[in-house]
Amino acid sequence: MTPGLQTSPADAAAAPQGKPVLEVRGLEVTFPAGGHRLKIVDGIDLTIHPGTVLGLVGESGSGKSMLARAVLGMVPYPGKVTAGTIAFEGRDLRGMAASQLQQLRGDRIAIVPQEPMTSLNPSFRIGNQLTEVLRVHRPRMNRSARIAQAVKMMELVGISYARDRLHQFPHELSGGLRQRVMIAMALLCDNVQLLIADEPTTALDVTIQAQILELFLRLQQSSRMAILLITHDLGVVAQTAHNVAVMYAGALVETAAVEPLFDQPLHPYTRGLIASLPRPGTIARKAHLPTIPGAVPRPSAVRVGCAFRDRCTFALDNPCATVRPVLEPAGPGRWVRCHRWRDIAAMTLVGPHR
Amino acid sequence: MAPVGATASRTRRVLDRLAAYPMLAVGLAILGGLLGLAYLTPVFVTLDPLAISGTTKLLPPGGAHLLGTDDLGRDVFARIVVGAHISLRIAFAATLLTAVFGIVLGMLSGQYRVADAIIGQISDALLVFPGFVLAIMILSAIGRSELNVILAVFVLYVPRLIRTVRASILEYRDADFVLAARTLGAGDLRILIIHIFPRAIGPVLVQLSLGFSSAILVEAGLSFLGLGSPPPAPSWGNMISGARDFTRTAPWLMIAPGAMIALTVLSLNLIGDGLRDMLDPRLQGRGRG
Amino acid sequence: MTDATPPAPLLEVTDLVKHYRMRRGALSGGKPRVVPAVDGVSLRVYAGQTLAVVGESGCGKSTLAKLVMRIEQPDAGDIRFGGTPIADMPTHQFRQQVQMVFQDPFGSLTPHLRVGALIREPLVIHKTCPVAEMEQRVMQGLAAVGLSPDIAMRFPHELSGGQRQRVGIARGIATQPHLLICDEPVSALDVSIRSQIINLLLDLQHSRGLAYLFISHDLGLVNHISDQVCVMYLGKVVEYASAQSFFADPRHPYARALIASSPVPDPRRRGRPAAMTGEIAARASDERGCSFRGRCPMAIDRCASDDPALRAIVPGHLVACHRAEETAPG
Repeated sequence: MTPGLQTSPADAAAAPQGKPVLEVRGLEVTFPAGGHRLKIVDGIDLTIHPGTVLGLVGESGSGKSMLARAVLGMVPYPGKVTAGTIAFEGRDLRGMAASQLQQLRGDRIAIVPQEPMTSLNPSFRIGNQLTEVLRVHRPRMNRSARIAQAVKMMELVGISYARDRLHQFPHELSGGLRQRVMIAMALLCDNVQLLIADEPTTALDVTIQAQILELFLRLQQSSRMAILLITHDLGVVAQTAHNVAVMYAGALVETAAVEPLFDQPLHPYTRGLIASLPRPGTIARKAHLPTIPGAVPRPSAVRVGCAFRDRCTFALDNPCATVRPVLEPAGPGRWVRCHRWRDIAAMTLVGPHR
Repeated sequence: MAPVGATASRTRRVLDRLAAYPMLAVGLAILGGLLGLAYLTPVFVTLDPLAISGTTKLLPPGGAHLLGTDDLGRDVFARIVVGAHISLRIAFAATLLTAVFGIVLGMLSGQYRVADAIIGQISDALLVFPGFVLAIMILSAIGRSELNVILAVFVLYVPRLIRTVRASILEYRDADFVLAARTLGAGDLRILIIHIFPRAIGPVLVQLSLGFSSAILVEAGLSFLGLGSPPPAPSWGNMISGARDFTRTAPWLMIAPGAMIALTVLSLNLIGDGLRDMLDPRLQGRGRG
Repeated sequence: MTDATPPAPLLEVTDLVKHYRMRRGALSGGKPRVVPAVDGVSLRVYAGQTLAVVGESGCGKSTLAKLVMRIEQPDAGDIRFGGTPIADMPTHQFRQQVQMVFQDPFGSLTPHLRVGALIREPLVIHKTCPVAEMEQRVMQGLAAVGLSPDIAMRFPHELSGGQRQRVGIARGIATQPHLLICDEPVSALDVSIRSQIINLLLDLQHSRGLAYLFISHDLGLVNHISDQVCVMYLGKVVEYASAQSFFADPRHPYARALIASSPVPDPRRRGRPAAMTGEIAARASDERGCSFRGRCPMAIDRCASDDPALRAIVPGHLVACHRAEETAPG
């Protein structure tokens, strides 16, 4: 392992320092549909400690992006947060007035959204958009101080020719640069305690992705910022996260520190995801890859039994089809939502294979 | 998210859709009523719009003459009904002509640059003139007759339809599914007709229904000015024109045709707007599963 | 790949060139520039095998696909299919033999056509079989891609992403082509669905002897499914080898950086990604030297003046780098 980069996830996960930055309990986000309300986020519990990266893994329909928006208080109408608590540094976000939330956003809680291509206003120069954040949150800063801070952040995130780029428009920059600008914007107030990154590298080339992820880790090390990294890419999670939470159909199905999760995934969905990745060495070239049959279910108002059972090779009629499993502790720092996790733990060895 | 599963019977779906767009339903109802008035009434009642009578001049509505008589003793109701025939006939013919030429020329224009240059120039030139003025100019030049009115309305509206069709073609010409069809081996014609044009139908229908209502108005206006169907044809415009001298003494002579024009245009505009509302969000509403 | 004389390639591309004229330069003033999207690419695809084309944005792989599919015409170079230059082949015949699977499963299916009509279309265009037989062929096609017959009545928006991609594949194999160009066929799909589609493609290759020109940026996937690998950078091939040889011993600094940058789903293998700074910067066509040198950790003076040619380091393993001998395995 090369020095200089915190590479062992165990350090952070095993000894959480201080109070959690973010504590979510029982969060529900619902949308109306034909008389019912569909649960897009179905009872989520999350804890993130300072200085750690929580990788939130999920596919389309898992509700992960809606969860991020709920934390920020930005669930789009007609959706609503209908249950649960969100505590940021101990303060209740749900009960907060809109103006107070607005003060937090951009200052202490920042988000790097998914699409760098469309998140920047095409009509304004980069410098303008960056300094706008400072105008809102640091009203006492004068113009030259704002520009200096913007340049400092741009250089911090690795944007070359920062001063010149202030005058450029978003369309003049490549995707990677735009994403760096979004990250610079997120960190601008130098006060971020929680960074929510929603698929921050999905739209980028792999070499740029590696640079951005390295940037996250570097920033986090120096400032003890907590990061909620939302992604569908297990590789990104393995390389960056200390702890992992896996979402399926709006609910958490497994949480663990990153090494135990990959060594011995307990939930059939997690197992299926990890197993389906092409891993030279474990599977012969051009042989069939293990698959998860079926497709992600659409959100529904009522769900009987386990949401994953239609696709699960471990599913039994009783209780999987009738009783919805609850999140149970499965070891130090681990939780699983599966009736059969003990059987799975017993029948598998260390090392992910089915 | 669209529900997965087989679709219900066609009539059921259509009715469901109509229920969601009350304006469209109202427009269709009014139009239906007008069409019934125009084409079913003569089946049951004998009407003679041209029968002149010295004794029954300027009778107010009521009794034997449902809407009264005009200054020549002619039954206003009969004239209204036949006037409907005229207006609907002209508007329909003009719209049909516009549709055929507009769609074909629009497709050519969207697909081939050379065609676009030629058609575009002519069409832009026509669009320069305010519509009604252009119609007046045309009729003054070629004389008044029903056919000429049709031609004038056609010349007025075909450039607009060409633009609409062309815009749709351009929008989809580089779409992924068009590229996919091309790689399958589809030729230009097949792509235009099967892949692109159905996506243009929405805007085209909206444009045509609004064009139809404009045709009614233009015809009425031209007749009013004395450039439309020559008398004694009971075109609504002619009727309004003839009623000018009797606004105080026999207001029903003007109100009846005026109301008919208003109702017809209203119904068509409701239909056009309803179609637009119905079709647009659906095209975007076809979301990802 | 053995040293024995290989069989004749199904698809042979030689020195393919395609330029685009850009009307405006971004940072460098307004002079119109000619950008070589594909700048002298040669490759071969063998029957029943998969050649993966790997590269990031701007490398020219999409343009390459369009050129091979005859959507665009090359400025120079030669493309041969089954030994015949495709320019000499009637388009109709060509399209029966070479088909494409697209990245966006939703966008590539005409939204107002039902699945049955979509699959039937190539049969109709090419008159592959009598009309009476077409319905049956459509059903067979659906079965071949693992879809139930009732899917034929559905519209694309009623299907899931995986189902749509299966429809795209069914459509692509309807005329029994010999070569499929797969342009990132699973990138837009959910992770849990990807392996289903990959397995389908593998099965079809096995049962029908299909050859694939497989464009992807996912090196893990490429390692699993390809027989040969071709790495592109800014319009040129920088490394070309059998998959086995390539992944065992990648030589070009860019290829090595790509592999190192791909996040491995194993938390015990964390490390610094290969020092790869900067972004892909398009260059003017009159620049000399290696186009990768600005970002290359191993660049020397010679790289600025001499454009490296593709040469065999080991039989069957080609690299375009002056210092290819020095990059040790691993």
